[in-house]
Amino acid sequence: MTEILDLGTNFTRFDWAIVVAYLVGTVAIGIYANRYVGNMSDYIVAGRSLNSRIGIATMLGSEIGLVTVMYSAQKGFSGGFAAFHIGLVAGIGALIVGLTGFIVVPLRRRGVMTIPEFYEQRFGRGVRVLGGVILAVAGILNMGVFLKAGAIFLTGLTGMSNPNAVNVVMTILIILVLTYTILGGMLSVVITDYLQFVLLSFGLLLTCFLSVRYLGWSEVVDTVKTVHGEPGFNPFHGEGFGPSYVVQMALTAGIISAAVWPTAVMRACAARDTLVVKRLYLWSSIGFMTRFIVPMFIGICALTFLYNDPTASRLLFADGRVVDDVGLTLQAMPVFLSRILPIGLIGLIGAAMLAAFMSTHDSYLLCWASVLVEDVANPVTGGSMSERARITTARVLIFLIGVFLLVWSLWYPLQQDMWDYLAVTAAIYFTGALALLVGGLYWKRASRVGAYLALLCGGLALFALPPVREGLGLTPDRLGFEIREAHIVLGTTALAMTLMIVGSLLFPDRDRGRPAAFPIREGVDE
Amino acid sequence: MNSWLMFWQVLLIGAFTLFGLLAIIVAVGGLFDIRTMFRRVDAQHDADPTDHQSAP
Repeated sequence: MTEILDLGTNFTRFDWAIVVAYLVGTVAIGIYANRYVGNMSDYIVAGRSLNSRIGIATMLGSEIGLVTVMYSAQKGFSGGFAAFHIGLVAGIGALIVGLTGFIVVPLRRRGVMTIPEFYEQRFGRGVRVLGGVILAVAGILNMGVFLKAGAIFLTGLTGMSNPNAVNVVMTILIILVLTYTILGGMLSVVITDYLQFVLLSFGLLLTCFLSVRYLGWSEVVDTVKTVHGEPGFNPFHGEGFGPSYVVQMALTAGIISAAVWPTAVMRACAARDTLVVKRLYLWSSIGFMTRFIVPMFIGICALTFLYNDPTASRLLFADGRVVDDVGLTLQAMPVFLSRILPIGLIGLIGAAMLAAFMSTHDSYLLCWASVLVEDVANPVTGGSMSERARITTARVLIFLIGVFLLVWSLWYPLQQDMWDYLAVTAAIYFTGALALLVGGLYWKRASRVGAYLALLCGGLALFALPPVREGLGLTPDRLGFEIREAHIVLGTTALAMTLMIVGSLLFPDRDRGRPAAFPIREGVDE
Repeated sequence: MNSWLMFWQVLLIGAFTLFGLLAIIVAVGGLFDIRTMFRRVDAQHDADPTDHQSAP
């Protein structure tokens, strides 16, 4: 079991009061928004009424989650300034999507509510069902570590050392998330994401200011030089991230996060028209970049602070280098915050981070539940589900997914590195999805068989997980060389695209005479 | 190493500046957007009352 970093904390009962007041207010908003829930369109995409500014807030409110902040801070802690490359390529990727409308504009023009809905339009119902299952399974598994991250954050920030107390708090939080998610649907998500974005963004910036003032810029730079050396600054350095990792990040953090990951794409579907979609991504590219860089810098500050603390350095560093213990290094940022943030501000930051935690959960819960209803259950039943049945089923699924997440994250002992787990579970979905979206939107000859092959190819991404490779004997000792995770993810992506092309050429759709132009829904371009 | 450090320094300052400006714009503008959003949803319901169900 990972040791708990216990350096004391500034978190007091006053800070707990701040946190509770915020959470209660958030639930009240969700309940209030319930009276606006009408049809499924309202429930899922806020009646397609999102304007650009609230659209940006809700997109970033979901994407700047506690897990992203925790993982990014850990990357800054363990990788130094070189980790900033992830944020840089993420921003460039979103900017490219905003300038070109790559995938998201043609997708919005078709008026679909989900990506699997596009699969049916383009490739048929069977592809939609298979794609929906893969998407939901990958997405729900991807969420499996979120509660664990929340527990580690709470432990570090509040000084809780009793594992049972943390588990109870996590259970209460998932109940709160389920409550306002089930009641309010997308509308309450939009409002709570807005509040969370405002609180978290100003909170993180203030934290960075206080960190630099407390530590000093020179001390921060010198610590990175001492601990990480050249790899702490150069992301292409072979002893650090390396070129293949940078390319993998350009794909996953860049293009995939902006144009293929469902929660971001759903926000595009919720935009008023395609002009708003492009504007959304242009402005959000700033957020896509800074959501990594700002918490990474806090992680670098945590490195500086804890390196000079005798108790922490004994646990976190060995021979002057960061230890290879994910559970321990994930604690670095919250423990650092607990020591430098004053009373009151630490409560606000804690509330903001927990709000980010909940907004991420409710957005993803809504996303995966809607996929299972709209793209699996309803198509399988021949489209005969009534509006009421779909909403009720979505709410039941949200509850069941929440139960699974609670069990999986709190009581199932995860042994994988958190980033590896997230990257692999996401790749199960996006390696196939990218091929279907690019092929389906931009290549008339993309066929159903090609789509099936590309979707199924995503399962190969599991080999990127070290325990899977070890279980199959694919270790450097046996092979004589190392298979890096980045190579597997990039290779699977390339293979999926290849299978889409080859499968489509060898097995073209017989009904190619069907209309290729899909009906443009009202309000697409004004 | 120094050239990389300089690059990341510039990027960091730019990130802080842009993020701060974005936060201010979204915070203020988002309030107006929320009000407009609820007006639009109400208008959609008024236009098609049969498409609205009572929430449980």
